[in-house]
Amino acid sequence: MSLISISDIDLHLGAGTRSRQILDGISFDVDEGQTFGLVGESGSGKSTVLRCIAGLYRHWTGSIAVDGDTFESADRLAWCRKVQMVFQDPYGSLHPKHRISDILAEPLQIHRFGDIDRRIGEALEQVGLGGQFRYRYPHQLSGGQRQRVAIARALVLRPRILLLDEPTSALDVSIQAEILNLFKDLREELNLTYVLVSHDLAVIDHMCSAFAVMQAGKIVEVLTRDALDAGQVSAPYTRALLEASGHYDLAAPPSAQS
Amino acid sequence: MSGTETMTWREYLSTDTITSGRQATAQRLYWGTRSFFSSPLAVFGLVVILLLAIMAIFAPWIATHDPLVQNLARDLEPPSAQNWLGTDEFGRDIFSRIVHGSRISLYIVMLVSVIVAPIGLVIGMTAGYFGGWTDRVLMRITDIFLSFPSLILALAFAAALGPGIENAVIAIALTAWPPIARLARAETLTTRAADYIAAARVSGAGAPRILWRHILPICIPSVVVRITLNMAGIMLTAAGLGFLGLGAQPPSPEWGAMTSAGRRFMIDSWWVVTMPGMAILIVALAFNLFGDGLRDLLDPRQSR
Repeated sequence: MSLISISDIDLHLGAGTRSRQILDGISFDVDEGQTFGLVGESGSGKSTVLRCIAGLYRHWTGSIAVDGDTFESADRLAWCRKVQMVFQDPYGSLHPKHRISDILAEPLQIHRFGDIDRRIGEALEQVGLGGQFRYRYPHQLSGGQRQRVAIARALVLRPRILLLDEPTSALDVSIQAEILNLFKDLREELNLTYVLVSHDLAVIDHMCSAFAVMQAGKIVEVLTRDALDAGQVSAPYTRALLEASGHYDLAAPPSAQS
Repeated sequence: MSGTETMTWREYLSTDTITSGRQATAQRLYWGTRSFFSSPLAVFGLVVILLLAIMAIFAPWIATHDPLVQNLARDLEPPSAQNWLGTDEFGRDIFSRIVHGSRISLYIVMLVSVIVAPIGLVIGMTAGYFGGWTDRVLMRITDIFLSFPSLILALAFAAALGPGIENAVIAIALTAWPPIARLARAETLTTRAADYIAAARVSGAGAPRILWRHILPICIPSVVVRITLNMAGIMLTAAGLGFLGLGAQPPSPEWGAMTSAGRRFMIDSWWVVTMPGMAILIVALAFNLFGDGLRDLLDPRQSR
C-alpha cells in the first residue's frame, strides 16, 4: 500500500464570480521511500498541491490520505508530525526576528517534545551545520545555510514525508547540487518520502523515480524516470516541455558533473 | 596582554562563535545600542527625554519657586536672574511651572500610550490575520472612530465624563487607537502571507501563537515609532482640552494651558507664551528623533 494516496482533489480560490478552479481532479500515489516529482510551468498548481497536503489549504474536495489516515479524520498535530514542508525561498521562510535556536525549538514546543536542546543540535548536525549557528539570526546566514536551517526545522519533528516546494530554485547554482545531495542522503538515512515540486527537469531527473506533469491544474501525464530516459512520452504537452528545456541532456544528471 | 583562557568583554560581544542564548541577546543589545549612539539626533532625543523624566521626578527640588503661588507685584516680568524664564500674568515663575508641568505632560503621554498600544495592536492584528467578517466589522468600527475629528470626539467624551486630566486621558486614548489599529492591520496583512507564517502553521502553531510570537514582533517597531511620533499630537490635544476648560484645570501648570493663557499677552510679554511653547516643541522633537533611533535598535535587519 502506498504511503501517500491522493485522489480527485479539486480546489477553488476566490469567492463568487471571481472564483477560479486551481486544481482539477488531482490524483496520484507515492510509495514509501520514493521521491515523487511534480513538474509544470508556473501557475499550473504544483505548489498548491503541496499546500493542500500540508494542510495550508483546507477547503479542497477529494481525499488525501497518509499512511491510511485521511486528512479529515487525522488529528491536526499528528498530521504535522508526519508531513513537513520546505519552502522555496529561504529568505522568506525563516522569521527575521527569531534566532535559529528559536526557529528549531518552536515545533518541539508545540508538540511538547522533551530534550529540546539535544534535538536541536541533532537536527543541525543532520543538515551539516555546526553548533555555532544555533544562536545566530537568519540575516547572519547565507542562502544555502538558511535553506539548511529550513530543512532542519522540517526534520526536527521526525516526519516521514517531506514536501519540497522548489527547494533549490532560489539558491546559487553551486549550492543547488549540495542541497539536492543533502536531500538524497537524508532520504537514505531517515527513510523519508519526498514530494518534490520543480520546474527544472534536470532536478526531477536527478531526484525522482516517478513524476507527474501538470498543466492548468490538471495532471497531464504520470511518468517514471525510466520512461523519461527512454523518451516514452505520450502527451504532447510533456513533449513540448521537454523540448522547451532546451539542450537538456537526459543522459547527464547534474551529479555526474559535480 | 591578557591570557587566552579569559575572554574580554569585547571578544564576548563581537565573536562569531556564539555559545549561549544570553550571549546572542547581549551581542544584539550591544550592537543595537552602538548603532543607536552613532546617530547624534537619536541621542539628542534620548537625552532630552531623560532630562524630562529627571525633571518630572525631581520637580520640587529643581523648581526655584512654588508653581502655584501668585505674586501680583511681579506680574509679567521678563526673564531675569530671579525668574529665569520670566513670570506670567499672576506673577508665577514660568520656569517652575514648566518644571512641574513636565509631570502632567509625561503622565498624559505615557498613560495614553500604554492604553492605546495594546488596544490598537489587538484590534489591528486580529482584523488583519483573520480577515473576512472579523476584518470588516473591526475595521468599520475603526473607521467610525477615525471619521470624527479627534479633538471634537475628545471634547465630547471630556464633556460627557466631566473635566479633569484622567478624563482627558480616556478621551484622547479613545481617539488615538484607530491609526495604531490600521498600522497593525497593514503590517499583519503583509506578514500573514509570508512563508515563515506558513511554516509555523505547518509546524502546528495555532492562531494565538502565530499572532503573539510571529506577527507581534514584526508590528512592534512600526507601532513604537508611530506612538512616539503621536506623542507630540497627544500633548497638543491635551493642551487643547485644557484651553477649553475640559483638561487640566486652571491652577495646574499644564504646558498647553499655559500657552493658551499666555496668548492674550503675546504682543507685550512674548515669554509667557513662548517658553511653554518651546518646551512642547523641544519635547515633541525629542520624541520624534528618539522614535527613529529606537526603530534602528529594535530592527535586527538593520543592525550590523
